[in-house]
Formats: sequence, C-alpha cells, structure tokens
Amino acid sequence: MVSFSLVYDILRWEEKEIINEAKKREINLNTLEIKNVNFKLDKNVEKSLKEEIFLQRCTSSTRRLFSTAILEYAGGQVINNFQTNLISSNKLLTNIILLKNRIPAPLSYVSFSEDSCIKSSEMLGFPLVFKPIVGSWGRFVHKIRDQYELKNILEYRSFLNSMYKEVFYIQEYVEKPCRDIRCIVVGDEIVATIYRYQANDDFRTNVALGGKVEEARLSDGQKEIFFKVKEAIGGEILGIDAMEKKDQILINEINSSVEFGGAAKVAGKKIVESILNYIVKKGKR
Amino acid sequence: METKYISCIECKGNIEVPDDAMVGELLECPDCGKIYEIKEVKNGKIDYKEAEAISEDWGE
Ligand SMILES: Nc1ncnc2c1ncn2[C@@H]1O[C@H](COP(=O)(O)OP(=O)(O)OP(=O)(O)O)[C@@H](O)[C@H]1O
Ligand SMILES: [Mg+2]
Ligand SMILES: [Zn+2]
Repeated sequence: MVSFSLVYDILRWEEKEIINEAKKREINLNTLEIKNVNFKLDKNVEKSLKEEIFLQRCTSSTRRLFSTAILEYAGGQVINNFQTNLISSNKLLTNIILLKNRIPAPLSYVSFSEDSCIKSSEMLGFPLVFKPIVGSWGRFVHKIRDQYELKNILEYRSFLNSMYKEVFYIQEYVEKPCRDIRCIVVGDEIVATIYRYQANDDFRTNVALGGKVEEARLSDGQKEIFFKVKEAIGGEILGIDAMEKKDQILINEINSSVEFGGAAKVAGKKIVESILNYIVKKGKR
Repeated sequence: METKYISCIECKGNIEVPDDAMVGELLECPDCGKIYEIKEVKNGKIDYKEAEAISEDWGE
C-alpha cells in the first residue's frame, strides 16, 4: 500500500478533497500538521526519512518553503521540491527564470528605493501594475494610472511592515480580455485549463476575489508554453497563470500549492484524482 | 453519532463540527461570521481557538 504524508498548516477545501479521495483508495495518508511540529536539527536528521513522500500543502509560503528544506534534508521526497517552492513563492525570482528560458512574461521593472521606482514608472509608462514580490489571492496587487497614484501607494506602503519592503516591482498593465488562464499540471500532464473571469469591475481575476471560471481550450502552441514553464521551474504539481495579450500569452505566475476549487467546477474530480494517481505512481517507483 | 457543536466566544452561537473534523480545519460561526481553527481533537473532544489571521505570505 502506498503511503504519503500531507503537510499542511490550515485545511483548505483542496486538502480535504485530497484526504477524502485517499480514503476511498488503498492509500495510507498521514498528516503532518506543521504548526505542531518541532524539528530537532541534529546529525541524526540526515536521511532519517528514507525517501518518504510528502505532499507539501501549507498555505503560508514561508512554512511551505522552510519545512520543505528540512524534510528534504531529512531524505524526504517533497512534492513540490524546495527549489520549485523557492522560485514560485517569489514573483521576481519567477520572472528571472522565465527570462532565462525565453518564456514570455509581462515587461517588469525592479528597483530598490522609492525614487528609483518612480523613475522606473516613467520608463515603463502608465497604467502599470504594482505588486509585492511575495503574496497571493491578489493582495496589494494594484493597477496604477498615474504618478500621483503611484506616490500614494508608495507612501502607504512605507508605513507597512511588509516582508520585502525595499524591493519595488512594477509591470506593464496587460490589456487582457477580462480573464486570465489557469493551467493545472500534474506530472507530465495538463489536467485542467480554465479561464478565470474578473469579478465585477476589478482587474484581478482571482477566484479568491470572486472571479468566475470557464473551461479554456488551448492551442498546442499555448500548451507548449505551459510545459516549458513546468520544465523551467521543475516541480510536479503546479498551477500556472497566464494572461492573454492580443494573440500572445504571457506567464504571470506559478503556484506550488495550487488551489483548484475553481477549476474543479469545470474539471470535476479529475484534478484530485490525477494528484493521487501521480503520488501512487511515484510511491511504486 | 450525535452532532457536535462548539460555542462562539464572541456571540455564544453554536457552530457545528463535522464528524471528520481535523486539526487545522476552519469553522465559521453561522451567527456572527467569526472564524475558528481546530487545535486538537482528542477522544472526540474538540479544542479550538480563534483562527490565525491571514498573513502576507499566505496563498497558493
Ligand atoms: N501586469 C498585469 N496586467 C494586468 N492584470 C494583471 C497583471 N498582473 C496581475 N494582474 C491581475 O491581477 C490578478 C492578481 O495578480 P497576481 O496573480 O500577480 O497576484 P497573486 O496575488 O499572486 O494572485 P494568485 O492568487 O493568483 O496567486 C491576476 O489574476 C491578474 O488577473
Ligand atoms: Mg495569480
Ligand atoms: Zn459568533
């Protein structure tokens, strides 16, 4: 019987789906509630886990990243691995990997002071999008129409205790058709592709913000780009987001603890089933 | 099995606990919307606390 451990901090709908699906099958699912764990870092840790499989599903990206580092050091096989978590949890590092692999992404500028950010905005032009390099669910992702708005945001931000406050990341505002594309990849297979439509008059399409979903039929050329992203970043189970700009697609970000409640409205049980099939196959290798 | 409830600290409302409740699960008070997190499940007894606030590194 295949065993694996689900690593989590809070249980979202997705984690419960995974647990319920595992119960239906000959799979022994253990849980590792990361908030109640004490890792002793001594020499006995190394390789103590003997290839055990972990499905990393923490909601906090820092818990995800650092618990993965420890589990890997201890010899565990973590889905997704440390490197994938490191890159995908950070929009700037993701952007660099995309560039390196010649994968199209929105034109972005990075700077390290408010004044330079204002200069970058002049080079980029308005409207633009200002976003924290760490974060999700659309939090603090702002569309900025002119320099006055940018200065306002910078002023408010200067009073926040945010993680990477000294890093200023802005990008071209992509005139997309009111939606973006979410592609869920499990192993070597694309298991779901959906459009996420923006809610009300928000430019953000996050399902967490109320965005609606619809099945997306992608061309082979578009699928090729998503596979390329997966190759570039590594990882085994990913949610890749892209925006359409005329007839091009631009990769926006990569999610390593993908939420698939929205996509499941279109793809049904296929996503959770593929995840477990994948783990079973990996466990038998 | 009889239905389990926990009591809302804020408004004393009754919050239903599902049979398969697990540590880390979030439960919302139907009356006031406050969210709780299950801390421990031991011999059928549920220990809970106010849910952790969303922090900037949370998400997918
Ligand atoms: N450069 C851009 N131009 C136009 N719209 C954008 C741009 N960047 C982001 N958006 C929109 O804003 C939303 C949130 O942006 P982004 O995905 O970068 O942030 P997030 O907080 O990481 O969201 P997620 O929950 O998908 O992880 C996206 O769904 C996208 O539709
Ligand atoms: Mg996104
Ligand atoms: Zn209440």
